[in-house]
Amino acid sequence: MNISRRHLLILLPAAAVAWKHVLAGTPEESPNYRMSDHWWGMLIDIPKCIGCGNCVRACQTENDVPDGYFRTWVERYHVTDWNMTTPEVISPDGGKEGFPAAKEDAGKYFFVPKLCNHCADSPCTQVCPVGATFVSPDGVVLIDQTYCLGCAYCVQACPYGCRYIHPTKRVADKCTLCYHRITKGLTTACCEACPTGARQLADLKDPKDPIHEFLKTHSVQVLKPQMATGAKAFYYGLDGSVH
Amino acid sequence: MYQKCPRSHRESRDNFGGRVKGRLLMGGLKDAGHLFRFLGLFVIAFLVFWVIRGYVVPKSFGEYGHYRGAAIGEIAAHPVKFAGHQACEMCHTDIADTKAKGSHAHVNCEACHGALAQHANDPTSMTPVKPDSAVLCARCHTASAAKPKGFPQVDPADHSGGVACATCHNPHSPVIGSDAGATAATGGAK
Repeated sequence: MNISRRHLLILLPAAAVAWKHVLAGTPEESPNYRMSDHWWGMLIDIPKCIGCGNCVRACQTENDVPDGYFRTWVERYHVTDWNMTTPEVISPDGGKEGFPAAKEDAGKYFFVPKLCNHCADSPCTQVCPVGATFVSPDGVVLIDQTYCLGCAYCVQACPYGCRYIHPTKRVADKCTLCYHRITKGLTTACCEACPTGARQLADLKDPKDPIHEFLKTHSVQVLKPQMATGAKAFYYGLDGSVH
Repeated sequence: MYQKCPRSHRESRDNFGGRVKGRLLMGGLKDAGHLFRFLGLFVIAFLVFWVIRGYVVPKSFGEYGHYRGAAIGEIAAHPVKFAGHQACEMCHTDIADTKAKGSHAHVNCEACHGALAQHANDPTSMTPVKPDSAVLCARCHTASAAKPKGFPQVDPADHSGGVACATCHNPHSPVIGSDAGATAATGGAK
């Protein structure tokens, strides 16, 4: 093939961009993992949640989450027929040790596990003044804790209340979707510990992931869709009273 | 159009072009010398900025976006504490078989036994403690109006009167009378 100097000069930047894409990320420690092949999210099946708190405890163990702080937590909603818009919501100690007894025949009860929604257009990463929090190329919202100043702008910006300032590190902290696990082919700690399969890790770029069939055949909702955050925590069976 | 301008403005307009041209072309570089010195200062300041920036900004900053690319690898390198059921099933094949046939087939090992990556990495370094079935089972199976109706629920005091659940049920295959029920007292473990 005969390439003139002019064509070579045109091709070089294109080749550089393509090579960059090929290299697009192999996190250390995970040699077989390519970030460009994944786009992570989670499916939460509300009718399956029994409020046992296994996910909350597993998350705290796996990620050394300090007591009183939560990367994931479970809320119990109590909705009555005569007041659908302001439900009674409780989450004692994040639901870590379960929930108190519920009254029989007193309206509707259900559990809503919550965690970082790993938004594709996340408000929290947009407000960071130093570039310490970001959406990784595989769709996980992460924090570079060596770079974070602890200004807590992101804590205020998250519409879902998923961030906190770590009490001893004094930097922002949140769910990493167990990034250290999913890059090694494991599922998240909360999904591993969930006894009913109410939480399922989903890879939206993996054509074999059952999430595709589920999304096709079920009515699925995200939290606060009006905020256009591109949330990737998909809730099946979510009641309208959950905001 | 500039007829509308005041006379003084028109004069300065007419003179301006002439003066600047005159200085640069005819006045020579004698007057422009300080401009070059000024430019030199700018170049030096920029170089100093560039050198400091090179030291201060981490190498991987901007690799994937406005953040430190190496942070991704650092987060991925955190230690794992839950080994995952695949790791358990590699050695504990008998229990995996029992469990696969029972109603707890979809309950992963560490949902009850806790985080055991340390045990999976080196079984001698740490042996898991057998969970107390009276506490463990009650966590999920204590009756509550808030739980989904189809989920098996009991009032523990009523149901067993304080007798540990594993006395009658095999936690790995809890339905009494199912194939694995015979090993109930040992919880299916050998």
